[in-house]
Amino acid sequence: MMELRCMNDDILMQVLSKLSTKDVHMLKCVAKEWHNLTLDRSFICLQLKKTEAVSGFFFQARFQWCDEDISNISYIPLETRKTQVHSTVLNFLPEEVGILASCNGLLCCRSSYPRYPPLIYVCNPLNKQWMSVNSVHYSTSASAALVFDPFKLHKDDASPNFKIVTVSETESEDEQSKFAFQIYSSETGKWRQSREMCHCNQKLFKKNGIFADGSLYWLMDGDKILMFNPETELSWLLNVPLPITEFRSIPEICIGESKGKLQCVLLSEYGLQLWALEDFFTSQWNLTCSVSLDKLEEENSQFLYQIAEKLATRDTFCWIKVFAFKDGILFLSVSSHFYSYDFATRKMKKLCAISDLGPNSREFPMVVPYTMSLVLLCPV
Amino acid sequence: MIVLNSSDGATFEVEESVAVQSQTIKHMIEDNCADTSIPLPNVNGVTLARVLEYIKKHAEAKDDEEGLKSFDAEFVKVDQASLFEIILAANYLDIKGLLDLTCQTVADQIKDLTVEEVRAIFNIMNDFTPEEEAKLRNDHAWAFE
Repeated sequence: MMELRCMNDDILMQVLSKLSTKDVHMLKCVAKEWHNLTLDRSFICLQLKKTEAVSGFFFQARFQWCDEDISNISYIPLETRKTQVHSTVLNFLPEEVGILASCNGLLCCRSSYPRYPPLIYVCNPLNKQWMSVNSVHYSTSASAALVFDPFKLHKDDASPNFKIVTVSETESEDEQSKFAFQIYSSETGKWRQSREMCHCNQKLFKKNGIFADGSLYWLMDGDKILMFNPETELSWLLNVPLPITEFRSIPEICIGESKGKLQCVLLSEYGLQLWALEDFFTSQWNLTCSVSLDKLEEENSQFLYQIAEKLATRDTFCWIKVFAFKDGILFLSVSSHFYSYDFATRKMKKLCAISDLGPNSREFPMVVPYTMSLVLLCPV
Repeated sequence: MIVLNSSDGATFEVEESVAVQSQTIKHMIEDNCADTSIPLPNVNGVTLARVLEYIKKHAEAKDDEEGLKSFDAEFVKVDQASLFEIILAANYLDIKGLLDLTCQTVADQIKDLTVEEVRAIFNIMNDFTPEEEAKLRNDHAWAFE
């Protein structure tokens, strides 16, 4: 066993700052001094990393046709020897919530219905800090996204600068659907309606907004992706990488962020494809990974069997569905279990049974990727 | 040429352009404290020799990224005690690259250890009561492995 003299504080900070958030967090238990270090602003700034791999996924089942919330929120960690589902992670919040979005370690939720107007919560589950934001306008059909750059902390107290952007559908005079955007800034503490509106006849699909490369993206239920840049306040409608007409049956689609870009996962008769957005203006996507269904089955034969046939007959029962994507990891369901698929290793990993997450978990859940961060919402 | 004296009386000569990779030495030179030689009472001879090996290599092979990478990898293959001495020296001499490299090495070594093993290595007393520690682990079980 190695023996070292006690390191001085300066050096301890240097060494610990090189660890991933998960490793630093675990070392809280070593001694009180180390615990306090994880709450120290200058240490947190030192430890902030440009990229940390996704830690896990928050999962909340949703009723398809009713506004009531299903209170159970599960957290499914990745990178663990034995995956265990945790269901009390957000119990530190003062009331039951519905998850909305996550960005760089912060989670955004809203108070459960029927409370109206809802309170929006922004929290860091790792240090259990939270703050609430009033939102008079938030409607049941709205969707939200969180914008948070951990490297742009307030100069004075290193508190986070974040924005919450909600998008809601309004009907315009010509009966066309329009999407309006409301922006909350933690700097001003105020909401305002953006003058920008986006016309689109499709509805929002997987409701959590993805923050990538400075903009927010929401997947629509057809072949479009709604984009909104909270700085320039410009919105745009992008096309998904391949037109829906190209497919014999509707492909499984989800979007997520990886390597600073918006990525789109398509699962269809052509296989499992990962596309990176190169230019939103022209909807130009770059195919970065493509695995045929046969290869996918061959490389993960213990979990997949006859995918091609099953995908072709997905009218009544969806045997395979994709839900969320972050940092090269896809969260999907196959038959009665949830899995992660790593595009780098092309390996699937069984996470848990669908039934472990409660009833109603199969259809239209809210799945939000989460990456741990030490960032403090308020000074300790 | 700059002359450096280690804590145990060893003398080393090094070119000024190389020595200024150490911010500490750089400031001493600028403040004119370096007429005859620079005393470094916090660094022993063996460690100073190693540090000089590092900064010499990084000065001469500045643009050879691949070469430096493999040099660095070999450089940190030393016993724990020596590694620790180099960290202290790099900190005192304020050589950022060396400090980053050695701290990253220690970080990589401890990241797979249990809390108890980390306590042993750093010789740290656990000042949590058993109840406090149990509560801490329980509250955060979801984030640990």
